[in-house]
Amino acid sequence: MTESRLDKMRGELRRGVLVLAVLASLKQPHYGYSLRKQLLDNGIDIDEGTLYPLVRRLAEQGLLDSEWQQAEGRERRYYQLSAEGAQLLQQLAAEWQLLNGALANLVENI
Amino acid sequence: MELVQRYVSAVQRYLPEEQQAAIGRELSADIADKIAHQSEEAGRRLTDSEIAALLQEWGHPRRVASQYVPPQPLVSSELMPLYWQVLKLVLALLFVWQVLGASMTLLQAEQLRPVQFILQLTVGFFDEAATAFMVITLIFYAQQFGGPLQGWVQQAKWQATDLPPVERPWQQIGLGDSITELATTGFLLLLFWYPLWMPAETLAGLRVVLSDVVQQQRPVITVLLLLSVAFSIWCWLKPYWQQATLWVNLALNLAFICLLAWLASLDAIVAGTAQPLPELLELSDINRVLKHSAWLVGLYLLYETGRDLYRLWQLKKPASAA
Repeated sequence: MTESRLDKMRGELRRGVLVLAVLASLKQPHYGYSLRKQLLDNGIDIDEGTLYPLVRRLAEQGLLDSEWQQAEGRERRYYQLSAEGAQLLQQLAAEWQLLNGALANLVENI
Repeated sequence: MELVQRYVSAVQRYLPEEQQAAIGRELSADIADKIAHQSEEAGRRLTDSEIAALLQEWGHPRRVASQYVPPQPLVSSELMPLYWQVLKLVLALLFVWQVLGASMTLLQAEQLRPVQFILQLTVGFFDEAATAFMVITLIFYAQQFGGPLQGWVQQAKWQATDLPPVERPWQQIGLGDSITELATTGFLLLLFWYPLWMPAETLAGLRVVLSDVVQQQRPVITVLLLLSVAFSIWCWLKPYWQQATLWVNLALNLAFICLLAWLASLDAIVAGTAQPLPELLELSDINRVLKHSAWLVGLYLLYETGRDLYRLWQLKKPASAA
């Protein structure tokens, strides 16, 4: 398998769980850069061009609450899970556990 | 920070006006945070070239804008298969229409002008095709805002038992094949019935006409051509070969072979009129070319007959044994 194909498939695989990762990270409030850092610290490297528009779209869908705040002499938009987002996160997390368990069996002996 | 402002402005250029301010504000804040953290790590202010490199890494303004507001496709992916079918069908119909229109012009002309025919066909087709393409695309685009097609596609009912019994790749009849058949038979019908539609003035100026013996057989030829038109339309609606359609095709081809063999055996397919032929053109030459053409087309139809017989034999066997 070529490197580019692997990159493409890895990208597709990660995109599928990105929403779950972002929602799970936003149980505490974060602004863009701190959210990215939090994900990175947990081993999920997402480029800004993908992460920030995604967060904005989730907020537009009512899954995140947001608030502009002044900090360190500049403004930042803080995001946090909304009630609707928290409900969805629970459902997605349950789905993920199921999927993860099923996949673990499948890829166990590879 | 001037570079950042320029970058944000460039991104805003690709955004819808109502979202420019909000996305621009957020993007500025995100970039400012990244610059601040990189400055903190470096222990100094970033230089312009370092900021330029950071923005370069962020991505082309157009790409960044499209990630915030993904471009809306003109036709949704759900409607795309239907869109292609409709587009191909309409373009095919327009092509047939243009072939018939150009053929009428060709037959009405005092002299045969094949280049004019091809030009008229090409220009006319592309002219109409561009309009059709625009109208169909706009109709499908409008469906995204609650048109009936979207719902129809999503709720389309089907049953496995209604699917065509196609087991071999050759059983699919291409749209192009049906259209070619239709255009050819339509053209021949026009050719044989030229006295019906040709203006009297043009008719009087013709230099060659169908010979008397061919004209006497006009009803038989017409029936054969009409049957062929009906069969082409049938193949268009049910585009797959089955035993029944193969038998009909076989019968039609055999009838055409007989007709062509008869034409090729005649002394003259066309006859002269009171109008003189152009210089260097002899009536006998025209008839010779027509007769040779009849033989060639007949041979091709003979090949098709053999092919259909072979296919009929194949259809009698189970697909796995083919």
